[in-house]
Amino acid sequence: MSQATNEAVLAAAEAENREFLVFSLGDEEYAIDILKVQEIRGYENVTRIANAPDFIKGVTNLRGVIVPIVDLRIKFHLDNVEYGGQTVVIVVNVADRIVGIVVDGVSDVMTLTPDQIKPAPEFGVTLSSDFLSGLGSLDDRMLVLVDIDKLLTSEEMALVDSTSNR
Amino acid sequence: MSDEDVFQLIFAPGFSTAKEVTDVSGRGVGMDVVKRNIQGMGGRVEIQSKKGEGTNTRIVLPLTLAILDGMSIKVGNETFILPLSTVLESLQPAKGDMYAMAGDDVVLKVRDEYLPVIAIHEVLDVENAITDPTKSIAVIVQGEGRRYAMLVDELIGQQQVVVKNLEDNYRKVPGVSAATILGDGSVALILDITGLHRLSRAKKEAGKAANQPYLSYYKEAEPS
Repeated sequence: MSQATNEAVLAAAEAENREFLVFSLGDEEYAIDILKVQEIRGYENVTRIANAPDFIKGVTNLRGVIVPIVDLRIKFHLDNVEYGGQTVVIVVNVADRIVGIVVDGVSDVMTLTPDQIKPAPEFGVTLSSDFLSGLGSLDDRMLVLVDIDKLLTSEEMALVDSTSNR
Repeated sequence: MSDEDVFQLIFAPGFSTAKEVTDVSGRGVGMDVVKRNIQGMGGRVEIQSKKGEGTNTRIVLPLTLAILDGMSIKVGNETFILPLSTVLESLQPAKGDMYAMAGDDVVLKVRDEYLPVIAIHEVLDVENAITDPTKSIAVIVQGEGRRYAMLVDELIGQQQVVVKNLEDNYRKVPGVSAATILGDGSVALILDITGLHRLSRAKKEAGKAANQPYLSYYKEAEPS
């Protein structure tokens, strides 16, 4: 095997590895595709929006851009929803929109190989498996891989006008 | 009715002078759309006309749509912006000037005119707001030709604000036309008068339906 084809094989294998940003909601660990993440910042200064679902905390000023903030802990019906110094907002870029999601903490960036990603089982009432891209297994940890694109643009998130054709 | 008022009639929805009506034209829609779009941009249309001489149509638009003269108001701990062009005056309502009407509705008498009262803290669910109308401030506003009295806690002052679109990253919010960033970096919502009025009516109706379940029962039982 020539060196060129060898490199191509290596590159192909690497391309299939995906990097994920791991964050925690309560005791559970979730992960999203790192390419969707724009930045990570603290939770501050959110202006409430009236008559919005409770998991939409409001909007905030991100360097002059008005960005909605969604609390995934409320969306996923977690018991302990507290805002403290550790509370983090992950700013993601999905469907040409910028959205901030509130999580309990960001732990690390993980590279997962295709065989570490298991298909998501068919279940889940609060988090439909439609919004999962799989379950990542990492030694004895399980990461819930969230398809943040699908989740944030879904109708039940009420983030996107259903009438708009974006 | 003054001549100006008569000329404004051609902007009324459904108003037509066409003798023949086709499927698409002559139905009194076009000029209504024109006026609404111009008003939506914060402008106005004026018509002057003299028989046998001609008609002068003036469309006045703001120089820039990005900057708006606003009146900042406080309700509870939250700050909102009212477009200054909609604000006519503000006053402290006296107890005798407020009249309840058909249960939930309240009107405020201002110089022999009865204006529907919109309590912003009720419509937008603001906590820690002043609920006693005589302790709050009524801002008389005008939107789409109608006047309303909005109850707010406090007037902060006039300021120019940069209009930021909410729909870029979020969606349309009932009662809110856009957002802006205040001096301290926080976001304030710019209120939409007619939207707020619609929202307040929708809320009252929803509240009524919840309190009087038999009404919806009757509607279901007796389809008209």
